[in-house]
Amino acid sequence: MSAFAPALALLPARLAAHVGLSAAALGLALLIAVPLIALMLARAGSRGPVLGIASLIQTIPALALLALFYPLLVMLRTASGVDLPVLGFLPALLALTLYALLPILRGGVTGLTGVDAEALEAADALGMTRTQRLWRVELPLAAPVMMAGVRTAAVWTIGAATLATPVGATSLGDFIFSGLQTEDWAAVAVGCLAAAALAIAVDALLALVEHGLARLSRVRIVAGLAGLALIGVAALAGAATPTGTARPIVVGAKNFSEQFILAELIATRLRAAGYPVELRSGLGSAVAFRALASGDIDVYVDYSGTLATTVLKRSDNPALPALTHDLETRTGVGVVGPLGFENAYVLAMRGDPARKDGIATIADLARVAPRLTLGADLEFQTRSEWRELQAAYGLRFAAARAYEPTFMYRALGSGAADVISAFSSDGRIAAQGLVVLADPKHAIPAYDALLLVSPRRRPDAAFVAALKPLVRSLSVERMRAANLMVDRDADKQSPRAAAASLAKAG
Amino acid sequence: MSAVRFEGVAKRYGPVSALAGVTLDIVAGSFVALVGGSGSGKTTLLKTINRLIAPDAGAVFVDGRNVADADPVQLRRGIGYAFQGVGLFPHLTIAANIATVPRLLGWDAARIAARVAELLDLVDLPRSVAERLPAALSGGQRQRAGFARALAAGAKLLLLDEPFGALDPLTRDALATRTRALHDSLGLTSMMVTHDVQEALLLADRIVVLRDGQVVADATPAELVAGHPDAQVAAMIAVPRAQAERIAAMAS
Repeated sequence: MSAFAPALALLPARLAAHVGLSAAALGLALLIAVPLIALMLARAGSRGPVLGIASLIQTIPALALLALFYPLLVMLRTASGVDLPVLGFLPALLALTLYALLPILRGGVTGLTGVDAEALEAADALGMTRTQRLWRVELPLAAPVMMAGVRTAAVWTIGAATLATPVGATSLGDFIFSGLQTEDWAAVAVGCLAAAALAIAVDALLALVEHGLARLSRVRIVAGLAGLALIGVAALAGAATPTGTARPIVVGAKNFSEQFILAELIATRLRAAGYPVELRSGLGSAVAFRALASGDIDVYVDYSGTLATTVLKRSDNPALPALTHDLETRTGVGVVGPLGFENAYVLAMRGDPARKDGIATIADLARVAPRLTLGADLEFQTRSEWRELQAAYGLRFAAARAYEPTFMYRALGSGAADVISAFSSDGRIAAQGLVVLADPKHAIPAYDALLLVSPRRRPDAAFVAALKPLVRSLSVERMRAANLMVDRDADKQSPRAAAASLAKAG
Repeated sequence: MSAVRFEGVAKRYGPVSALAGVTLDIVAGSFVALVGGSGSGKTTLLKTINRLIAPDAGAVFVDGRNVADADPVQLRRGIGYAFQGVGLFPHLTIAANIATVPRLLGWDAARIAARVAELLDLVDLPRSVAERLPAALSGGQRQRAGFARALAAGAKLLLLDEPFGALDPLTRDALATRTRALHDSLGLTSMMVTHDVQEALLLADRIVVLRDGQVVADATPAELVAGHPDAQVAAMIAVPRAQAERIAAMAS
């Protein structure tokens, strides 16, 4: 059970956040659904458009819907001038609410329009008012179908809430996303099982309420609602961890091992300097920078090449002072300094085929690439670096597949991919005996790891001073060794343990 | 004073005229059958009494009061209504179904329980069905429960829309006889829509025949059987009579 201990220690807080997020989304969806259902019953012509829009929302993958709310909220904040939190709870809540709408709406309309016409005629003829007919006849008879919709929505919402991690909302998904990256399968299992158990429990309690409504049995309704309330209270108790009065420093991390380790390293330094610290791990690459620029996170590590191309849209390869100046003037983000190592995109192959075909550079690769398969990380093929590489060397592959970084290395090992878009600081390059292909035309820019702080923290001299010792403290060899501790199959360590080893040696 | 009075009641559904100016007086205590083919307007006429349908022109009076001026909810609670589909609430027990209007009127629990028991006896239902759901009853039992529900709050006016339509002949005859007995013992005014002329002849004091939304005959059963100037009405009455004579001939 020791493999599960670290994950179980984090479970109460994450389960609490997960319950809170799911319950809020479901509650908000119900509040929105009730007037919409009333509208659809009053005007049959509105059913098509309302259900159509809800269905359309449902066709958007949950992860994409969550991701979309970040830029939407940023736009809204800019347009309204209201200081909306654009990362974390709010975008997750809004996306999950929309996602929960369709089954509730459909169940409500189907249930209420399907009520036996003769029972309705009797209700009218006996002298029930519109309200009495609704509560005594229509709702009890529609309850099974309506509640089936609510139950479906509840199960979906609890499942989809695990996808809230990349937009920075704490949930059981934190176990799954970070576990997938670091191959900590115990953490993945804890996240999945907890989410499944929660969904089953909520579904069963809602079923109890449903039976109570259908038979007008107060006992069952009250028992079901009491059970749901108990889950809510237990979750709140789990969340009631002591929190300081000061807003904690939020350390961000993108979705790969090195970022997790660096976030832990930064967090350790800041804690040592007396700051309360909170981690937001697993952020999307572009989300992370915008979250920093907007102050939703305070500090994280990004790479000079990424910043130049993706953020500043520069096609040249600016030197550090120019890059720093550009970032500060255009986005307000401060550069504390380089960490001392580079993590560039490189193309890597297994040693044997590379030697057999005499491939040492990307130019060599371009000759044979039309017979090879590229395995890339999820964003590589959309990045300007890939376009630069194609333009500079005329690279054309037979096929290109996108993988989570962990599985990308597996794909290369198994032969499912011949070439991968690796990272130069990745410990697995040396561990797996991979060949890194040279880039004689310098198509890929430099990727110095830079410690960035939010516009609000940039003038805070004490804060920046607390981070300064990290500048130029990490060689690429040490970073690779730390990455390998987390990424290797045997004797795998947690990102926190790897960060501790970096801090100790430094 | 008449229990129900129709004055030039008319109702159109698009181009179709369901009621084309019906004027009738229904004497308190009478049992009136509204007879006619489908689309003759008989059900529409019945439903104008408790305002399930509002006429386009004319007026309907119950106990001398124009129903258009009454609160429809209060009006309906004072009028018993039973129809072919019965419309028992499937999620409620028979007792709760019968108690619907007394509950709406806010009776106390003891009074409701006593009334439910009394009504079960009145419609010949065993008291053991009280706690069953409608689905557990036969069609005849459900119709009896429907009658009990219609009479629960002591309505003196009973509207019946094809009440025996879905029942087998034996059950139908037993329930029809029981209904007439209740009508007499409770002093009700009953109006029954039916397309079954024989049933109308045997149960009612007065038969009103409708065609295309108009009254084409209005007489006692005996008068109708003796003959009617309207050829279609006469033909309609002739059928059950001829059947009865053929059956009587077999027995002799």
